[in-house]
This record gives sequence, structure tokens and C-alpha cells, in this order.
Amino acid sequence: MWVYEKKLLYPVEVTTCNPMLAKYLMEQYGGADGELAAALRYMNQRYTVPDKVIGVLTDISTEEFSHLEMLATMIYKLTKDATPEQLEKAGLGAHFVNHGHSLFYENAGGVPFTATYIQSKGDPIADLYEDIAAEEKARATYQWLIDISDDPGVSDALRFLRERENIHSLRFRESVEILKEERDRKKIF
Amino acid sequence: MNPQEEEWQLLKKVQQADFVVVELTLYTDTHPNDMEAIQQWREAIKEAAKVRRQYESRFGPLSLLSVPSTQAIEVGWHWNSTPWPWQR
Amino acid sequence: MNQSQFRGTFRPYVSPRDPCPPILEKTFVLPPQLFTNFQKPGLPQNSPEEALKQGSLWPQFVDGFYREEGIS
Repeated sequence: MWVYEKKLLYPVEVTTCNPMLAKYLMEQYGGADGELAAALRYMNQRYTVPDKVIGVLTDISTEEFSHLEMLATMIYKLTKDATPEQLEKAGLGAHFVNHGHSLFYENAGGVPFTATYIQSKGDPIADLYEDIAAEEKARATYQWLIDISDDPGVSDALRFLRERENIHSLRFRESVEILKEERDRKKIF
Repeated sequence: MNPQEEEWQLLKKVQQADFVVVELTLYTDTHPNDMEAIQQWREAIKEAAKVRRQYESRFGPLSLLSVPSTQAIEVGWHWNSTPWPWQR
Repeated sequence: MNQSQFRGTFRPYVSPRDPCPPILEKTFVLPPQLFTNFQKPGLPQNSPEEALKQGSLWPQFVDGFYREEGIS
């Protein structure tokens, strides 16, 4: 089970009313390489990986949910009191007529989240290589978001999230190394 | 410092202490034989619990695993009190 | 943090018919974890304050991407 913590992983400060930036951030909220996809991918794969790497998948998945909450906080703050006119100007008119001011799991282009964004092959190496790729793709997405963001508070939080992808990628790479050590284990008996 | 700013700063201390635990947990997941790191991880959990108690005694529990202090109850703290994390 | 050790560059082909002013040299990221298959024990650590700010307890894995470096 999980216990809710009434705090964010990182103190997010948003400085502008900026629905256009909110729209872009949705790529990491409900997009293919976003935080929801990451959290669900690892949480699902953990049941069938070797015991030695279950901890990494469980803990990184849990952290991804806290990243999802940071993204939600930024999107919420950037659009909170925006008028329908402001939303429309930012390209969120179609979002508004369907969802009002609420958030939705969709990417920056408005495409709804789908389980086909994640893979689960039941082969530890195939799964871990997918996870490493996912972390590098998320890191790249954060780079482009940092390049397009004009809100200093959001940029600060995005830089934190980007560096986390580096660490997660490293831990998945180490997991592969741990599994490589299993080679020839049978011979030792 | 106004009370809201004071709470923000103290919460940041909790976030800093908790983040060290997050990092060392991931590290020890893949380095189960690094005894020095495991010792540091234990100390980091103790430190995070200490900072958390400082925050929670004044501003109320951050999770339902903490016992609400009488001080927090007296000032009208409820689990459902605002602000929620995204509202701060 | 020495950012430049975590960046690569290449010079793309430039055609006289390219409509946008050509960028002669393109930079891309080579993040720190590419050069470490397994983190060594006992690496220098950030203070808790600095760790949260940078996004890692270990400065060695922070490559600090900024808009101002102009990668895109």
C-alpha cells in the first residue's frame, strides 16, 4: 500500500499565470515519456523481474508519482485563474470545452494517455533497457521544456526533474550490471 | 518572517532531509554490500524523522503515520486542512 | 560542475538552399551516467540543501542543463 505525504518532493514555485506553458508541461504529465507512463511502467514490471532489482523498480516508480504531483502542481498553478479567453489564446480552447479548468492525462498536443505508451516484455533485460531509454527520453523532453519555459520557478523545478532522470537511468544501468553477474552462477554449484 | 513563510522554510528542511533518504534508498538498492552507505542511510532516516517532528509539532502531521501533536489540534489542525501541496 | 565534459558536438551538412540561417555546430548532451556503469562507493556528496537544489546527492551525476547554453 501507499501512504500519502502532504508535501511535494521539491518546493515548486510558479511565478506567472501562463496557460501556454501549462499546455507544454502536459507532455510530461500525460505524454508517452511522461511521469504517469514512467510510474505505471515500473510499477507493472516489478512483479516479474529478478528479486535483486524489485527494489529499484518499486522505489523509482514511487518517486515518479511524486514527480507527477509536481507537474500537476505546475499545470494547476499556471492555469488556476486563467480566463477562457486566455486559455483559448494558449491553444487550450479545446481542452477547456471538454475539461474546464481541470487537469487531464493528455500530452501537449491534446492526445489522451494510453497504456500503449508503456511496455512489459517479461524479459528482465528487455524491460530494463526500455526503462533506461524511457529515462533518457524524459531527460530530453525536460531539456526542450527548459528551453521553451519563460517562468523562472517552473524552469527551476524542471531542472530538478531532469537531473532525477540521470540518477534513475544510472540505477537502471546498475540493475543490468547486477543481472550480468548472474552469468555462470550454475557452474559454481 | 510571516508564519506562512516560516512554514514554507521549515517544510523545505523536511524536503531536504527526505531527499537524502530518497537518494540513499535508491543507492543502497543497487549497492546492498556498501556498509558505509547503509550506515549513512540509517542516520539519514533518523535525521529526517527529527526534522519532520520539528515541523509536525507546530504545523500538524504530513502523513497519517505521525501522531498529531496537542499543539496542532489546539490550533485547529485537521488532516483535511488547507493548503494541500499543490495549493501552497 | 564542468558542463562541457557532458556535451558533444557535430557539424551538420549545410546547403546553400537551407531556408533558416544555418547553425554550423550543433551540441548534444552526453549525460554523466553514460560514463559510469556502476557508481563507485564513497563519492563526494552535496549537503542536503545543495542536494535538493541540484537534484542529486552526488555532484558527479549533475550536468546542469540551462536554456542559456543554447542547445536548441
